Amino acid sequence: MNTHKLRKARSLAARHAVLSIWLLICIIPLVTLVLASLKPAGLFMTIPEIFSFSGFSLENYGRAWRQGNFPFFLRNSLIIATASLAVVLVVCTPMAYGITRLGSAKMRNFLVFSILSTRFLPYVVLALPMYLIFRVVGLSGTLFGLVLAHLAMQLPFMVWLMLGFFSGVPIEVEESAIIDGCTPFQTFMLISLPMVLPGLNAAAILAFIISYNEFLFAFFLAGYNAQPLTVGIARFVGGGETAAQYGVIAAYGSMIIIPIVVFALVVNRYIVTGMTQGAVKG
Amino acid sequence: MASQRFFRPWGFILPGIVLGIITLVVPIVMGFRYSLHRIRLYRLSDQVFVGFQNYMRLFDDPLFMMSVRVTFWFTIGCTILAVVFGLAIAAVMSTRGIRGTGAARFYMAFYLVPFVATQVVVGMLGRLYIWEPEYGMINWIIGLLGMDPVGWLISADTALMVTTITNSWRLVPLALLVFYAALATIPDAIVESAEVDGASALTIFFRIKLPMIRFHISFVTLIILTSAFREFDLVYALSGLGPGRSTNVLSMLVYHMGLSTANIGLANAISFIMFGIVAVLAVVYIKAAKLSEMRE
Amino acid sequence: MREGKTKQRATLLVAVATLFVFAVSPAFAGGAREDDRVTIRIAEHPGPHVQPLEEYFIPRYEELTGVRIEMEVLPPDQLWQRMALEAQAGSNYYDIGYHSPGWFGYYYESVADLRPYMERNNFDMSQYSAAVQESHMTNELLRPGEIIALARNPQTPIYAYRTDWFAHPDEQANFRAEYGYDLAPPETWEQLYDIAEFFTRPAGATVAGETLNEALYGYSASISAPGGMARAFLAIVYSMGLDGFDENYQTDLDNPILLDGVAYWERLVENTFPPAAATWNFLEHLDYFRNGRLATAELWPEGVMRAEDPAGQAVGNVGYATFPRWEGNLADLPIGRSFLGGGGILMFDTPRSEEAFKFLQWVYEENAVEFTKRTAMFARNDQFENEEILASADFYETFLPAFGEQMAYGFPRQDIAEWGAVMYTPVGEFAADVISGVMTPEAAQQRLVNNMNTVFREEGYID
Repeated sequence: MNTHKLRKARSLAARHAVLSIWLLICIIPLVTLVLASLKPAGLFMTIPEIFSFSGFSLENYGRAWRQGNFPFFLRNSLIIATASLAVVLVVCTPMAYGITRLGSAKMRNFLVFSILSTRFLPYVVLALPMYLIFRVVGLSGTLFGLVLAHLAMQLPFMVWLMLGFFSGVPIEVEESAIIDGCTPFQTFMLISLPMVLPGLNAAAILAFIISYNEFLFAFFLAGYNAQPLTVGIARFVGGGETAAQYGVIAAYGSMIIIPIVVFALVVNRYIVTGMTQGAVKG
Repeated sequence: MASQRFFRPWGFILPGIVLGIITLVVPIVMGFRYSLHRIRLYRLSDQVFVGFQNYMRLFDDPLFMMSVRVTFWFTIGCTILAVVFGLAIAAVMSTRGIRGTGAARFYMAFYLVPFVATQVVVGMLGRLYIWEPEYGMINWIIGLLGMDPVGWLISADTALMVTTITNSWRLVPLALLVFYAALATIPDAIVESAEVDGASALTIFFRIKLPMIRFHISFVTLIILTSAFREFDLVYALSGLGPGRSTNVLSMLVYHMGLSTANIGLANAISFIMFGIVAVLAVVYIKAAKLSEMRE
Repeated sequence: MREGKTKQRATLLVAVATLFVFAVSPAFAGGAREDDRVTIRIAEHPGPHVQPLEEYFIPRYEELTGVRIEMEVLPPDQLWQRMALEAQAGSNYYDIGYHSPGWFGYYYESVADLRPYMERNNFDMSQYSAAVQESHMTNELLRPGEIIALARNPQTPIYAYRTDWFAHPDEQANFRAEYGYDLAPPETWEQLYDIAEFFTRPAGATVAGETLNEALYGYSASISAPGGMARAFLAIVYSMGLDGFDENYQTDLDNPILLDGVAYWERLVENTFPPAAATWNFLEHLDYFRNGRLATAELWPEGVMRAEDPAGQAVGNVGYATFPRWEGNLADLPIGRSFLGGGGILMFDTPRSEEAFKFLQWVYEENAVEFTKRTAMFARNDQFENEEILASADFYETFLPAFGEQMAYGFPRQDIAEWGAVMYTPVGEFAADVISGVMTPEAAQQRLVNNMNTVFREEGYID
């Protein structure tokens, strides 16, 4: 009995060890980035030097903030991500709801099919024609154009995601609301939407994170005025990094990545819900 | 879902459809149109219809075929790595004693980090701090093990592998999450009765649990497949075209053709071919979704 | 159930609050920017001018005039792509851009003609030599009769070497024993190879009597594909006497001599370059040179301050020479050559052009001497002839003669808009593809030639 217990404890410890190793693999690269960014500028550093907890300095952050025009790009990033989130709430949610409540199965299947088939599109397929179209219609380089482009990326995924949540709402509840004299819009706002609130949170959070991280559309479409942080840091790609720049890049990268990671850790439950639901079925 | 409906929900759907047409259908159709034209970056308004000439030039070009091969291995590699690692970790996490505990939730929160981390930053981080040949972490580790440093991203033999591994690191959470959620719902009773019959943990996993989540596996596989297929951000920041075009995936080739060589028409032809490939994958996904709906 | 709900609400609150903080914080950061000062935006190439502009000229000018200057420094390939995209989009974003004659075709339609501004502001053009005006300030094909840019640093690369190592008796003796002639700056590219091979040594070996902590490399340029590779390999192409194409748009890149050139280049790169050179874009190899890890190097003159960095090991021991002759070259060139590169500054047509020109005139005319003292970039007669400048650094005595001699052979690029699409990118790809074994030299050459002919045919230059 005792050996059995011991074996069980050992097995549990071994499993925790495996999971902890994976945890380290997940976070050590980011820890490296942050520690490197906190070291004095102008030195190539070996790994032990990066991980020695001494000689911290915020020099790199000052430089990244000024040289890299950080606040300006941050503003753009947040405008784009917030607008995407708003689009999800205002457009995608009602659309998903409407699709699940469609009378015609044929129509419903067609729409679901359309959404699914655009969901996997490589973004570069859209970005290049968009560049040419935007030029003609005068959206080139604007924040509005970029938000439209993000919509192409968000719409299929978010509608698909919300479909799954809405199809779980029993129709009988809505029927009784209609009988009580609610309009369809009231029914949607007062009855159905509150029932899918966790799903809605998940969708909004994911939309924000996806747009915040997006690079390709911004790189192709954004004029300088509309460029987000991801394009801001990309100016260090292929710039011939010197020792001085290594630290600045690390600081710049940390300032981009840390807020979004912390945010994700705080709301991780919703991300889990959203990703699980979005991956499997609608 | 009942087929009887009590109101016409088009008011909810239409805004989405209109925006979908503007942002998805129009670019795709126009992209196809551009792919049939000769368009140069330095004179964008000067568009000459050339039929399928751009496509023909692509299939004659060994470098395009090479890019197709690179994309194939990159996509397959990412999918296999992400699914296998995701499955393995989900299997450990869903065992009794860990599943559902606070520890599991703690792990899961941090396991999300690679997925939410900005790809461009991950790419630069990988290039400057992880795979860097002189100061990077990986060469430091293998140095501790007494091995010689490897060129990683600056060697054509290893660059694709490194890029694949880095992108997989980012995709594992997706697989892990779904598999964990699926495995955690398998009732203990099933596992226990198998244990009574003397089956080992491995047998139980492969013979009982795996078949029960096979639909999850196929969905996740397809999602990761398409996600790796379209990856641009990470590759651009991590390795670019790579030494000897070794990481020149199709997305990168489109960028390179469109901007560096200024041939927008040809770039559109490549991206339309990518659209075709993904359309096939999407149909497969839908078939699988139908199949799973029938089963449930 | 109830408890779950509260928890859910709490998380939602946290989420909303985080978003809010996210969304509001930049409003403060951006708040200070809103005033009605004129803002001039500059897109710049990396180089020795960046720091002086950022830390000296721009702050002074801002203080003097109240105009705000925002300068953005982009990596070379991103720079021209970004300028092309902004110009094609008509966004009027940049007022001032970096000018490279080879990139001009990508945005030539949006560039301002400087002539009227110069006339209004009494800008003295006679400070620029006729050759510089022709190569870096005009483009008779695309913008006839106009002045499209101010030249800042017309340049063509030269050869840099460590004088202390070349002069060391051990090295001299060993070199003669091994190669049968004296160790000196090379006269032919084969000699350049010998010297590079001679100095390529592993860590632990000695050079000039000192033990090496790290491996030493013989020669290097920055050769990331395609841009860096193009910049470096074109030195071989032009040294062989090839021009790319002639006035009738007939290519000479189909000449078999190109295969000899790329075979030589492959040998040089593989045996003497640091492996990391393939990731470098422009002047990064000079960091190796400065740190004593490279014996000889390609030197674009704007890199001279990087090589002679007072904090480095090479400072004071850098020798300068012209590129060597390619034996059997098609143009009977007595020395090697590359293209006439470097660049200048151009203006885009924007509502702020008048202000932008005043800034350019202030930096590049009124402060021309100060600018060169801080950057070692030369374009104007009053810079080349200024005693104060020449006395300001020791290296000018040896550097300027080599630079001047090499400039006489610099290859001015043809004026067409397509130069980048037929020469720059494809030639870089050609060399990179051959070296990495992606294509056979013959197939890669065929591809290069086909691409050029296709573009010329499409543009109607040839039938």
